[in-house]
Amino acid sequence: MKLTIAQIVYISNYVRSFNIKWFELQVELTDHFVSIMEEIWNENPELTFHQVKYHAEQRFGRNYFKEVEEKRIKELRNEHKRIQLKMVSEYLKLPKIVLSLLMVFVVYRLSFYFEDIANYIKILYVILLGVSVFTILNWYRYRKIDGKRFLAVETALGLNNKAITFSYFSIVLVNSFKETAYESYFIYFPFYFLWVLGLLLIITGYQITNKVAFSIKKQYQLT
Amino acid sequence: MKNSQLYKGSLNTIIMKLLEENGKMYGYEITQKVKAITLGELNITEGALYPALHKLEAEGLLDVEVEKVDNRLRKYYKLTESGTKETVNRLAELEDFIRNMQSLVSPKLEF
Repeated sequence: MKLTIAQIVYISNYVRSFNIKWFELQVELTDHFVSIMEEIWNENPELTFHQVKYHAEQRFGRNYFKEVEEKRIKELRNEHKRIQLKMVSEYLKLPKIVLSLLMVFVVYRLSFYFEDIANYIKILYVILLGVSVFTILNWYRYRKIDGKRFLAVETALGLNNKAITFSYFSIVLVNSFKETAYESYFIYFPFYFLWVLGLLLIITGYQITNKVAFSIKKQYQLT
Repeated sequence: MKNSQLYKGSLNTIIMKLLEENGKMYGYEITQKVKAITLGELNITEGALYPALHKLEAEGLLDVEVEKVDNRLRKYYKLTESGTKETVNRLAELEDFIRNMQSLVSPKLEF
């Protein structure tokens, strides 16, 4: 026996009541639960809708909803980190590494035009924070697709926070040895490397988010 | 899942093998198929099935298709090109494992 649209909506709300807010999981778990209900109903047509739901609950187990979500979050985080690491490592291989090193050199060479290098580094990281505004705009653009929230997109958007944290700590750190090392150009070199790395993280995070959002739109035929 | 420790390591391979044979399948269908093939001996729980499917998807071995069926959306899984190749490797690995276990459990003694 097939469930009606109203009954499916009821089950979908029931799945959501377990605080499953991600559309892709709602779809999957609702379909699974409804399929179990239909099987039970076929075997016992005399049962009422709520009795069938009760039996399905017994078979499905109430803990599985959250368990599936938690494991999915962990899996997606690992996946996106792995993809980002792979993308960043591409910039550290030939031929792209030439461009990355050139960028470090340019950033280093520009420091010659500043008397206070610590201030120059702060400006660099403020620029990095500025660039990360694009990632915030991206978050705003994709946090809901067609009014629905997707876990895969949300996890990808989380990649963009790294550069913001990165910039904040660099600014704090450069303040701490401003007094002792202002005369040396080389002591600031790690900041230039980190700045380029931060930029790469923003670029790759942005690309991954767009790719994931595009794939979700295609899978669910959303606009 | 019955004897979960014994089956746990093979769950991904079981899923991939089923998808190789059936093209595309959805979660519930996989649990039912396994139940039918093993005559009810092996029962895959949702708590084990979906994390396994999501892991295979994350590894790029499975692709997802969403279709509207019986007034609801249904998520189908199918093997990607690399998933198809990986299935062959994993099945060979599993067969080796079964052969080795067989030798250990019931060794043919030679005199």
